[in-house]
Amino acid sequence: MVEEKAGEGRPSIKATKAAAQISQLRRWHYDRLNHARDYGQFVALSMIGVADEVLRSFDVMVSLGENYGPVCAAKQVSGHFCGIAEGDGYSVDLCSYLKTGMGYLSRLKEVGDTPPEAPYGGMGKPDMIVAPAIFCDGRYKYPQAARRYIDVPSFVYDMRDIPYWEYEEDPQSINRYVDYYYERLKELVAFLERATGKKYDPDRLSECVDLWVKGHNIFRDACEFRKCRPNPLPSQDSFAVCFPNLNYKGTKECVDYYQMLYDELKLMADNKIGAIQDEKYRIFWLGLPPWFYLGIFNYLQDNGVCTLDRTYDPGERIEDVDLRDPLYAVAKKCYDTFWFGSGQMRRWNMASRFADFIEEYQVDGVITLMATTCRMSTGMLHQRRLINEWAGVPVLNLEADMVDVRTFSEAHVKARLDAFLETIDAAKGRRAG
Amino acid sequence: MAAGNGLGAAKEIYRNRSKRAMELKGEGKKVMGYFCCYTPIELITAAGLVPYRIMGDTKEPTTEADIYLDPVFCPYVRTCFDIAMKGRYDFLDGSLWPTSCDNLINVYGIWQYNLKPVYTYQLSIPKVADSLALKFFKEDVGYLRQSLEKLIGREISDAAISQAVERHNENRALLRELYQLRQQDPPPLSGAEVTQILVAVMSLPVAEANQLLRGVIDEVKQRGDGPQSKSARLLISGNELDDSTFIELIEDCGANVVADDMCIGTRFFWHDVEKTADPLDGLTNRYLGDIRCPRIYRGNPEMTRREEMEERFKHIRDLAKEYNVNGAIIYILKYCDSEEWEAPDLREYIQEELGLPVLHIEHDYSTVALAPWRTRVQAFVEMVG
Repeated sequence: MVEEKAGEGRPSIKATKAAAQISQLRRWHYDRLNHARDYGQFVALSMIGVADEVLRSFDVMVSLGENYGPVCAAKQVSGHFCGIAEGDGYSVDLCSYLKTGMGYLSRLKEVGDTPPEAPYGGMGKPDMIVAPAIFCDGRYKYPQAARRYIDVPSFVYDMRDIPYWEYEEDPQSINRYVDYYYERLKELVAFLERATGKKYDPDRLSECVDLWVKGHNIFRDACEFRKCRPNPLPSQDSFAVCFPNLNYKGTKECVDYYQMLYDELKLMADNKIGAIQDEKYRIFWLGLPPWFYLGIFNYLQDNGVCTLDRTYDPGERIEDVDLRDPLYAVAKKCYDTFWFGSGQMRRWNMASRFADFIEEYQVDGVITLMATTCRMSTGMLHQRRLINEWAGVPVLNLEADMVDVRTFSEAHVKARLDAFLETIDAAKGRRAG
Repeated sequence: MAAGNGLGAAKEIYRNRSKRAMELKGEGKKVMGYFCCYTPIELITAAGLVPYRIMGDTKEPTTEADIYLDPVFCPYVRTCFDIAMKGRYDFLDGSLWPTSCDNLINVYGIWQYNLKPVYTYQLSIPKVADSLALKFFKEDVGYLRQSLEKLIGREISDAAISQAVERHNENRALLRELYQLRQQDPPPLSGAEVTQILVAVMSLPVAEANQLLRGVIDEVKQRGDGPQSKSARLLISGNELDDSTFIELIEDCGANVVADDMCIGTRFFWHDVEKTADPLDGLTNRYLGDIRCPRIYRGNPEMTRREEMEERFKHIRDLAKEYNVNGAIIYILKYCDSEEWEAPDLREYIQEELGLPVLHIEHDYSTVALAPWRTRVQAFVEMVG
């Protein structure tokens, strides 16, 4: 086991200037969160999947509980915060993203202020909790549990994952889900009006939605450059550049960032510049990374491997947004971006999509991380078997948590990666011969 | 041959719980497996099918599941899949899958792919239980009804559903009557016996289950060989405990388990389905609104945390009072996130609001090696008593 030492870190080296800038942007984002009141803004403890543009239209900044997990992991303090949450009675098996947030909040209550060990000055002091009940069980149970540390107004709203079979049989069935979500958004607006004392402003929301869509589409288009050979957007960059999309979507800063990323990637692609020029292997990273050790991608790169992933891709392009009712537009685009990773998709559907990617991206092998505390990752074993069978490429599974470094052995993982590259070599040889 | 009645019959059915369903299948009936308390079993009965709750086997090594399912899957779900892969659920004509939790959602497709069942249906369950969610859920219950109609090749009438509601309500009333007997000290039947009876009930057509329960209640009311009075009267709260071994262990340690808030327990039967003009209204209200599972978010923005906790756990307060308990065990199967996120709040509520000691157990479902648990339970029971 690797002993965790706060501040030591195992940072990755980025291929693009845009990805290298993320550290600064992260600092800027958390600085804004920690000084929200100075800017006349509120802070909502929330989760990925929240209607962030609606909150933003009320001057509410979103502090993503789960996203602070990777930030703390990169700074090697996630295990510390997880340990605190576990000491408060939360199971070691619970999502370590969320436990990191719980540990932070526990310390916030204990210290009465931002705990000094919190990276980037902390994730803010929430004025409210707003949580969408979607994707996983922890996503709405965690905010409820967080009230033991911050007893602020709380709004948890239901969203329905459309069962994938229903969508397959009748794509129009999605309208029912949009309408349901739309009604929930009206409730969210009523809550925000009470919590902030501000009136709902459709024009302001329209601006936020417009920016949200612009940022979304540019980011989506930028991700397409991964198909290029050599690939200019390897995983060490990919897992960094998703930060604005997750944390401050619906802002001009987000749009500007993705335009910069797009321009840089296009220039690289036009000039056939990649993270590495001679890609000996292309490996598809499926699922979450070990956030405390993104240097794993550099280790692979040093061995001639270009890694690519689609974990935080934004989903389908959004066209023709009707802003006459911007709140309805928020609901509709949520389901318009319906993507292979969302909804109650069966693992074999996912495996089938991944097998297509593997062919499209000319991938030689797949690595998955069995994130031990992520319940949504369960089913990966079955999925890996199918990918191996359908795509005919070797698949390696690494067992570790996504942010809790206490579960990780660097030496062991490197030994397995080395062996895996030999397996890929042999498989490539067989295919060629 | 229909099941007999009385405690002996219940125990026999518990030990060989598929026997009756297989007999009925041999007679030409169709058997519909289902998971969880959120499946509206009235629709199964109304369709003329035999409802059969899918459970695991706490003593079976999960050799098949190990091949297909990650080790961090809910151990109950793993063992259900395992024994299905070994052919022990081949007698089922189909299965119903409420989207109650991440584990059930994720294993659904794996079950479909590997077991290739003739019929499965996934029922979407909202995470809240307000009027909007109830309306949405009612539509989904309607789709389930249509799906079952397609399966059996005929309409399921409102009258048939209402009749099924009546029978299942009778079943619930009988179980509540049985539970009420546990308020006595000593309780006339043990917690382990109650688990066995519940498992038996969930393995039979409702009419046979009701007959069994009437016999059990008559026998229990007259028996003279029930449990002894013990200083610890415990309530147990948690998820799937469909094997009596663990309850036996607790009771062997000097406690009587007299009340529960469990999936194989009060969550299954505590609330009736209201008779409504459109029977789907009653089903919807009961299944989404009344079941006290932590997977439903209970709260609203106006509530303080204290008020929200009262809303979430007041049924535990009522049970603890009615059954005069002096300690509680929170029993959670590993990897059940809804329960795990709830546990610290529940522990705080029981300790601080109800003034009762709590033992929190995270278990892996297996009853093969329970010795380490015995030590913990013994220490807890000594503290309570």
